[in-house]
Amino acid sequence: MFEMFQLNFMVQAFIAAVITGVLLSYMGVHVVGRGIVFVDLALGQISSLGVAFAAFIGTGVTSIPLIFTLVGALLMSFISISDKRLKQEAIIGILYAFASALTVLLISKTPHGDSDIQEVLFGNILSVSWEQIKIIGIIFGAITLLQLVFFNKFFSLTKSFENGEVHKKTIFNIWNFLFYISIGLAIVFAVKINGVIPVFSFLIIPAVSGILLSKNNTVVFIVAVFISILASFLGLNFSFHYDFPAGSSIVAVLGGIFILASVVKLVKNLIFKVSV
Amino acid sequence: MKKISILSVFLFCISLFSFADQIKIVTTTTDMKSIAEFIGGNKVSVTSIATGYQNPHFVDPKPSYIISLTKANLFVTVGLDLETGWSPQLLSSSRNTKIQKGAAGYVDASEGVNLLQVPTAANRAEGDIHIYGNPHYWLDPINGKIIARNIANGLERVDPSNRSFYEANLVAFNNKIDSKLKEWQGKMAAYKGSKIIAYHNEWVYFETRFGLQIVDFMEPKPGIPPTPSQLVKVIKEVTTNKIKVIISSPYFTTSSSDVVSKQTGVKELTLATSVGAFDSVKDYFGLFDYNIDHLITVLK
Repeated sequence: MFEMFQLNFMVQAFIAAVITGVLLSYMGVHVVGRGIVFVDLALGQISSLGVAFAAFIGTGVTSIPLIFTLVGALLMSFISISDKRLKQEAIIGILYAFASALTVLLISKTPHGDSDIQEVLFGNILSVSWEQIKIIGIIFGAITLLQLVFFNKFFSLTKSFENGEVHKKTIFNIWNFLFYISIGLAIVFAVKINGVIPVFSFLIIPAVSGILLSKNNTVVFIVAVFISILASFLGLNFSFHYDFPAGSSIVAVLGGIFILASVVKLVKNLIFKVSV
Repeated sequence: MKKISILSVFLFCISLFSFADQIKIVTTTTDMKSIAEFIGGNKVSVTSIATGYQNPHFVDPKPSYIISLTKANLFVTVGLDLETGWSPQLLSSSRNTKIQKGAAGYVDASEGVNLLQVPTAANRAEGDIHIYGNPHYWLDPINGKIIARNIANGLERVDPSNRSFYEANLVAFNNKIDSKLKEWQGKMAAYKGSKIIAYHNEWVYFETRFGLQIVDFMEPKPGIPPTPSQLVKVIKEVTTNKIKVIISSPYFTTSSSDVVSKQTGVKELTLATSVGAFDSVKDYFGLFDYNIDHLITVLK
């Protein structure tokens, strides 16, 4: 079970997976609660657009994607809908499609733009360096601190979205803005280390599994964070022992955990019905 | 039961023995592996990270790649910017100081190759991102000799005691290249100057050596998937030049070549870009045997 930790690169991969997984699964509870699961794919795509743009103009391949993502996050924080027939998710979906299309258009005029995007955006967790771990440690630590100190502010905001309360259009909500900046930063740096699909999975699957397993909010957060650590460990073990790409192994384990959680939920419901 | 286990222990010991003294070589591609096997013979064991049917620009790292690099005595890379997306990261993750760039166990097989299509400042924006020149140089058998020389140099650095053995293998390899090259060029002689279309710009060395003439590519610029206007252009070129074949590689989709083929009747041929691209392509010589035999059947 623990042989993989004799190898340096597996230790680094595990530390990186835990740092990114813990924060993402925590943020995921907010994301699922607000009903904006595509926020990750949309921000990821906006950062791809940034790379495509940087490749097109031939400079700024690390800074432009970051700026694009933060501007995208800023724009998303302004989305406020008073019409009950519309959901935020729809607008985020549009941003995703729009950013994807613009990326394709830019790439079509940039030779090997797609390989630039591959290199800049989609990291591989098996080749994470200590310098990268230090950087995400600092950034993710800062975001976690912000989220924990102002837990109540962020949480009541998410609750209000869950309850479908209408938010006043004209008032700039600093907490909403900070939430989107946090998630934007977390996604850009996590994708550079894990790749897009693992980040999406870390964000959504632990949160959904936690919600399936408990009604208590604090328990949901704890379960989600625990699942992300468990999946990092089991996924990397699976990758190590059977020689599979690491990111996809972690996602497969997360998927398995989700199925387990669903079964537990089903059985619980059945027992509940029988006992009533 | 007991017999079997004793036997297996025995076999295991033998295998330990025979591997104990072997130089462990890790190559990025199968072509480098094949040539390293010719030079190293039974003194080496070689593994390749990429498979022969994979696009060498993109490889998804697995733990075993790093583990094999950790134990390697010699690392052979095609170099230029073919593997920049993955091999430097794997190399640094391995922490094996013997095979890092600049160390005795690091072989850049491209050293001394006369590179084609080296971009000048003027055409950099025009499209070629291969800033050092086209990296598909192993598709010219004469460059195979240079690769072999570089690998032999590397082996002699890490294992000087077997120098004469490697030198003898190198001579044998070069002689085989010379005699096979005559055979290949003989087969292609009748088709010298044949105009063809290629999917991606990876055949320039092959084209130059064997006297083909690639008129255009399916990709409007390297790495950009075929656009409608490019298809129209290619269709026109196929009809005016009476082109007989579009060549492609195992890792590209044929859907846009299919369109051109349907419109014009031009044949499509997937050639081997590396050893192992198809089951029948077993080594570096098999690579050219396969490509040339298939080409002459469609060019007839």
